[in-house]
Amino acid sequence: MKIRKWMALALASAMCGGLLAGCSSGSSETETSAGEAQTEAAGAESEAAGEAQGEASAEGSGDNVLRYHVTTLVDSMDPALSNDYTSCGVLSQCMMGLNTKDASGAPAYGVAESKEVSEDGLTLTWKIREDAVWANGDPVTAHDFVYAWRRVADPATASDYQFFIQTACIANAEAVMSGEAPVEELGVVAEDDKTLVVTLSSPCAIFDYLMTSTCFLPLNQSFVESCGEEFATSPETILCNGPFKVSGYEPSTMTVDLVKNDAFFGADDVTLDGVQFQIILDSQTAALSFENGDLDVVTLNGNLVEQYRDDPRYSTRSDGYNWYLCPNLNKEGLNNLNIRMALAKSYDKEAITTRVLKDGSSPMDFFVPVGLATNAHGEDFRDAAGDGYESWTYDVAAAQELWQAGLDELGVDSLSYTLMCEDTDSCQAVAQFLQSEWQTNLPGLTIELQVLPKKARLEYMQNGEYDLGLTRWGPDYADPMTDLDMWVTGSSTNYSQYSNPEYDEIIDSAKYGDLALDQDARWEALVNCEKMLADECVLFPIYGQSAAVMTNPQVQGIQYYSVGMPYLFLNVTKN
Amino acid sequence: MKKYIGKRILISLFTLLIIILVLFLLLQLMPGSPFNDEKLSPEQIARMQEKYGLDQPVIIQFLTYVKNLCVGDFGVSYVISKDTPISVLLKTRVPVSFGIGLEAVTFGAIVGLILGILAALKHNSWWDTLCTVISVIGVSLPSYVFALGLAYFVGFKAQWLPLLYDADEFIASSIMPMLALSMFTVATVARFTRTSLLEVLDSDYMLLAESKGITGRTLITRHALRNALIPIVTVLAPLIVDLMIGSLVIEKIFSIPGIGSLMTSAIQSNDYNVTISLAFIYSVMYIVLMLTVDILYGIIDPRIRLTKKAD
Repeated sequence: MKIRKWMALALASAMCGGLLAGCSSGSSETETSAGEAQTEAAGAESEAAGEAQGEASAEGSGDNVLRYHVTTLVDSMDPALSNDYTSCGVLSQCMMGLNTKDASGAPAYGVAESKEVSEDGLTLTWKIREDAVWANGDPVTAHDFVYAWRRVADPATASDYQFFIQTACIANAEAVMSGEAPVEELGVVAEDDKTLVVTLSSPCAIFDYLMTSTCFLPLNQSFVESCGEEFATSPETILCNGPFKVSGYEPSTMTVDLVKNDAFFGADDVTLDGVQFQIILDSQTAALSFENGDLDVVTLNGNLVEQYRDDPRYSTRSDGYNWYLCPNLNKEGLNNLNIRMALAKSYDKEAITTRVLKDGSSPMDFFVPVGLATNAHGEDFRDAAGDGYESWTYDVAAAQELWQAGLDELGVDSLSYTLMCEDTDSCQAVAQFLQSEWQTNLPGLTIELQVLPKKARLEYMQNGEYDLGLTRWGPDYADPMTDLDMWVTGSSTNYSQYSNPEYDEIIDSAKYGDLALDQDARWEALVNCEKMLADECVLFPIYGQSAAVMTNPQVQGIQYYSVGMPYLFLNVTKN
Repeated sequence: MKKYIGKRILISLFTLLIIILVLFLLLQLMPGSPFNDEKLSPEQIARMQEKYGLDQPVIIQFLTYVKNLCVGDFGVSYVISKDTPISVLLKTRVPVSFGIGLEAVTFGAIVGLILGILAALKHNSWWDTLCTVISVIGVSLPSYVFALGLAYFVGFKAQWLPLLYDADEFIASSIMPMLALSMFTVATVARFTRTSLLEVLDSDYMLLAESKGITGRTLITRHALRNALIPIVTVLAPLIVDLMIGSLVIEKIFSIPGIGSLMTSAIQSNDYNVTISLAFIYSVMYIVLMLTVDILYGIIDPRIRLTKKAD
């Protein structure tokens, strides 16, 4: 009791200290906003960085667990239902599909040991490793894949990534997904325990890549059924076959604990004892925890990026998201090419990334990101398509000419539009910058901002009830198609309402037709597709999003990927 | 009294029904559905709406919801933690927010009372000044300023307490959030206690009691404090609910898995069931608390009890 009293007293005095500190900074400037408070704290903390790091080293040497910061909650540990970045990251550490990724991000065998492709490219025979087992000792079998894939395709599951079954061109996908055919008709069968045969409706150039996605992970049917509705809600109801297994998890938890899975066939090469995912929404708290040694890797944002930019532990990596603007082509004025080109050419992307976002994001005069995909000869899509298009390059003088020409064609001298954006800080900052650039550079243009929560913004944009919308796209697989097939007529992600029969035909042929069989011609056709989008200014690219991270120097070997599985800790070492 | 409480409970149940109905209608009016996502096609969205019965008319949804609620079924989450029964989400999160909230209320009320009493008894002394200073600071500075200050000085610089919430060390990791949360309560309670007690001390019946020879502790506790408590109970009641439902900012700063942050994510992601369930819990708490306060008045002040009996 006495100790508690003493503690309370000590804390009360500490609190008063904190209070007085708060007062003094508050009195020098009439108001102390949250932002300022954060900057101050971070400033002081940078000075303390060295000493704190020393402490962290001493503390960190005792354990061999990677402590990783994530910014959103796990939405589900069920591979068929999980959709967000965090779930995908966690699942990728504790489950393994037919394929995984190598250090360069290319598909490499996971639990599969070989693959045979029939001559017509329509039958794939996968052999599964004999030593691939679940954490409970059951072998990983072809039946596990059949069960899991049917589950994803089953409309009753309502999986977000159901469309991947179709993207992979698995036979009868469409009929099964719409409920017209039973799931048993899906083109995937287990020939024996270790042989999986997949039948395709047309050759699929990206099949190997898709096999690294979480929705194609295997599931042990008897285990899933024995868990019933409780499946994937606790360590006891999650069965893993990857390098790590779940030891601490509950729905909407703030920490997910993984421990090394000794049953994993490659367990000898896994040096970490475990991984702890810590969900922290406040980036200031995350940075303090990193300095404390409580975390090994943190993601920074906003002001903190500037604070840490010169720190040796700081690095940036592309996280694959493209931010771009959609003009609604059905709106008066925006249906005019000159007007669209004027809008696309009159904002400074460089300034957006260096002055507004300041987080390592890179300006883009193109839509298919650098490093997303390479062709059969190892050539990156951007090398083939060039590093930008005239109609998307910042050039105020040219934009003003186009603007005037557009206004003349329309017979008006002013236009006004609403720019729709999300309610996050970065989106609003970018939207405000765009508004000011457009209104300054294009005389007669009035832009009003409409800030909405993401779900509402998407609803309006999907229904075509908007003028200009700031939105983003994350690639689903390493092929330009992930960025290009969204612009076909009637696609639910074609917010611009673009419709070009020629474009639709090329995309269809590249997916399911003749072009799918000729990789070089397909590649060339896709390069041409991006050019069509640029020539007609169907969208206005802005930047490729980057993540700024701080990494404990003792931690080596995290493999980051910008598409699909976000990172892999298989080869991570912590000294 | 029994009749009175029974009537109050009936009215409360009716109020709850109205609250749920209004929430249903409001959520329906909000643009976007839980399933708006870049990756989902209209067919998939339609299928999901069907799966969760969201394609039904609002009134049917409402009746189904109330029917399920009667057997304690809050439904499942659509977005935040897919297909997880809300009861599971609440089971892990409610105790955390309630625990920290209760700590904050208890700490705030006790410290506030002591400060207020000292200030009133030692009117115009340095205790009084201290009480006023703390009251002004506590009321005017938002709790996140204290939270950031504590996180930086106590959690980071001194490393006395864990910076991040840790379920295994509930007591240690709840101290900072509790302190930050309770500042407003300390300030409010101290201010009200001081004012109210000063007023009572000046009253005629105190003079009478004193002239009857009652002195010292008995005079203060039995006569002064008891009368001074009524306004304090009135301000404390809503504060209890405010603190127990969890604070969004405090939960964010200390990374606490409470219901404050859950509510915000639920609203942002249109996770209807989570939003309605949490709003329902808040309403139940308010109503129960207000009822308790009414009964408490009776215990503290016999005059109120008598009036109610006369009813």
